[in-house]
Order: sequence, then structure tokens, then C-alpha cells
Amino acid sequence: MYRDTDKFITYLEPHYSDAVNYCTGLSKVNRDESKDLLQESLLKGLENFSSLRDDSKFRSWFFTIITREFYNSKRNKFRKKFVSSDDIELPEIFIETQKNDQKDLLLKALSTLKSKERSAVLLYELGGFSIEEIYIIQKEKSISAIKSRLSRAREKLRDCISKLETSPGSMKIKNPNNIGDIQDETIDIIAGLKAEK
Amino acid sequence: MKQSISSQDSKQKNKISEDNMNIYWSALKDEDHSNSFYKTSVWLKNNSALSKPKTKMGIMKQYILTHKVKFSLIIFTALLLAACNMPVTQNESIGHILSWTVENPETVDKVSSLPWVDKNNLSVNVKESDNNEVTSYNLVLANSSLEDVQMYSKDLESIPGIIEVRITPLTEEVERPLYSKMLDDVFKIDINARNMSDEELSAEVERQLKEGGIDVETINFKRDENNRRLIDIKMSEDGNKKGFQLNINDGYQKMRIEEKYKKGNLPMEDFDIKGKNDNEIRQMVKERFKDKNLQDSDINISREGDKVTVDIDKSSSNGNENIQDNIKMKMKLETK
Repeated sequence: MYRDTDKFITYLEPHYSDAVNYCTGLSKVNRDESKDLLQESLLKGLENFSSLRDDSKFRSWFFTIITREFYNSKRNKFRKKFVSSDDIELPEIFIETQKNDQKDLLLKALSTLKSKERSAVLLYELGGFSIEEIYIIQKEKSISAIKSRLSRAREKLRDCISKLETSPGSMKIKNPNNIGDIQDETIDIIAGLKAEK
Repeated sequence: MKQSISSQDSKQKNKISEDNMNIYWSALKDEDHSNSFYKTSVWLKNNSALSKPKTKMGIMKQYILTHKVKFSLIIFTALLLAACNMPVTQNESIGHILSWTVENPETVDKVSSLPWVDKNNLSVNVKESDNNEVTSYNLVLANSSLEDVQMYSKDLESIPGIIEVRITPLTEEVERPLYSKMLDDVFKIDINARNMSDEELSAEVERQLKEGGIDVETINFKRDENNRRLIDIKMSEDGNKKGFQLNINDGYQKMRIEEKYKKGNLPMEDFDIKGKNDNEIRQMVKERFKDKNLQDSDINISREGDKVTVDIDKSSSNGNENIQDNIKMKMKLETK
């Protein structure tokens, strides 16, 4: 075991949930894929922990590793880097307490994006990274490339979610501020029943 | 054609608003996985050793550990090859010196007529003692086997007037790889005994063993319950100086007989050197070869554990012109 494991875990803790959500968003609604991505990223991060010079940059450093692993997994789906996933399994990390339709819709919409677009928009919205930071993480040629990529991705997402919302059984948000309106609640219930059918 | 306002409005309405998008993002962002963090950290601690090392040394170390069986086999084979090729010092016989003394002049003539006496390798010394002429002979028989020399010795002993026949082995130190020494220590014989009668096989075995300097007393055959031929060899008590391996292919079976090295009648072999110091051993050697008038400086003794090497060198290279006193011998003795 590396001596830095404890230190790595300490640094990871505040960013853990966001990292899991990032892996979820990247992995096209596939739980196993997101679990594998997180597993490989964690081990890779631990292995290269000594290369982290500035501890305050842990978040961007680790999200960079996840992004790299994601791109690598796209290139070679059959490569098993560290361990056989049959032998060592990451314990269950996706514990859903309740169904979240908005999240599911968003994930579906994300899965329609290209890898780099998906990664860019997730880093911006979920990770809270600036365009300059995304430019470094994605190792792009220019900042304007990141800007146009982000713009494209967000446009596509909006279109996709709109279409998904209007399709039968989808959850549509009518008025986010209108909590308690009986008519809206009734419509929600009907829509929910349709979805279950 | 310009779109109608209603059409534009319709498109605007269908497009999701920024606020709504934020709701979707919050749904993903607010998903809390801190419940699984503890298990993940335990997993990470337990499995961190499985990650690949970064440094070249680390990669090499991990590769070696992964394939340690292969590497062990390679190293073992390499060590074995190196050990077998390591040079070791071995004493090799290069011949014998046959020495005898004659008082009777008639005997001298009879000796001269012996066919195996090579005058080029013969040194003669005549001394007068009590009005008697005593002639001493030293015959160097290079590359001779002990068996041949013993035969010559018997020839001499059969001549009346021969006094004191003595055989002195000549050895030299040879450095050779260990595997060569090991092979050399075992004399191998391979005989294809198919279609050979018992008599023919017996004669062939005896002949080949004799060629290797190994004396056999008797060779007998018997049959087992399956009528397979079994050979029974009785070795001579004296004269066997080396081991041998006899492989007989008798058609339906193969016999292999091995005889390990047997100590024979080598000079000083009967010395009991246990507890004796170098001076005492020198005294024993001088007593054994008293006719050679050995000095302490002619006898070198070296020790290695329980093994003692006695190196006798009194030769013309030492400036000794009296050749009949020459003796060169090296023997390894063990404390019993």
C-alpha cells in the first residue's frame, strides 16, 4: 500500500460526490461503465499522487485524471489496466434513495452528446470549472475551441431535453415556482402513471 | 420566407429555459454519494497495491514479482551452467615409473631382452656395494595404464635376481570444467547385446572394461521369471581405480550397471593421517619412500578442511642429477 493513500483519501473526500456524478454523466447511463471509470481513476490517481505539486489543485488534477481515463476507455474498450474487475469490485457507490426523473432525463440527453462535448459541459456545470481550467483539463488547442464546444453542447442539451419532455411519459417542468398548484400536481400524477405503464 | 411570429413563439416556447436547465443540473449535482465514501476509501486502501508503479525500477520489480517462477528457473539454470563450467583442479595420471634393482649380471641381460623395455626412457645406475655391483633401473612408462605396468612388474618378478620392483604413478594437475571432470570420472560402456549369446556378451563386457582399466573377476548370466537375461559382474578386489557405467541394450530391456570409484593400491592411501601434523605426515612419507632420500623441502603439504594434499617433487628440475632418486607424486588424503 502506498504511504500516501491516507492523504489521497483525505484530499478526495470533499470532491468525492462530484467525481462520482461526473463519472455518471460521462458514462451514457451505464452504471457499470461509470463504476469502472471511477475505479480506474481512483487507482490511477493514487499511483500518480506524488506528481501533484500543488495540493490546492487536487480537484482539477483528479478531474483531469477522470477525463483522461474516459477518453482512454473510449479508445480501447477491452483494455483492463490494473485489476480484473471480476476479482476486485468497487463496493456499491450508487445508492439511490429515491427516483429522480430530472436526473435521468439529463443523463439521457448527455448520452446524445459527443465525448468531448459531454465532458466539457459536465466540467462546466457540475465541476464548476472555468473555461481556462477546462482548456487545461481537456488539453485543447485554444480557449475559443472550448467556448464553442460548450455553446454547442448546451444548445444540444436543451434541444434534446425539450424533445424528451414532450415525448409521452416524460416529466415536464411547467412552472418551477408553482409549488402546490393542484392542477399541476394532477397533471404530474397522470404523467407519472403513464410512465409506469 | 420569414417565419410567422406564432411559429417563432412556438419554437421559443418549446426550447427549455435556462432556469429549467439549472433544475436538471441541480438534480445531478445534488446527488450525494457521501454514504459510499467510507466503503470506497477502505477499498482503496486494500487495493492500492494493485496499481501499476510509475518508476522504471518499480515496473521492473513488479514484472519480476509477477513472473518470479520463470525468473527463478532462468537464474537457477544460469547458475547450474556456470557451476558446471567452473574450472576445477584434477590430478590426472600421465604414466608410471617402474623401478627395480638387479645384483646378478646375468639378470641384467635378461632384463635388457624384455620387449617392453624402451631404452630411450630407461635410466640406469650402477653402484658398488660390498664388492657387489648393484644395478638400479628406472623406466618411465608414459601414458601407461596401471594394468600394463603391473603386467610388466610380474614379468620382472618372474626373473630370478630381480630385487625390489616398485611402481610409482606419475600425475599432473589439470584444470578443466567441472562437468568435464564429472563425465571423466565415470567410464561409460554401451553394448548392443541383441543377438549376442551369453559367452559373446561376457567376452565383450570384459574386453571393454579392461580397455578402461577395470578388472573383472567373473561375469555370469541368469534368467528371471520372464526369461530375461540378467548380468552378474564380480569386480576384482584390487586394481579398480575408477567408476564405470555399463549400459546393455538387450533387445527387450536395457540394463545399467554402475560401479563407483573404488580405492585401489595407491601409494600412501593406507596412511592414517588423523590428528597428524605436517611434520608427522612428512616423516611418514619419508619412511615410505626411504630409498628416495626425500628431504622436507621435497614434500609439500596443503590442507583444505579434512583433506590433505601431499605433493612430492624430487626431480631433475630441482637440480637432482641422480635420476633414480626422482619421484614426482601428488595425492589427496582424507582424515578418517
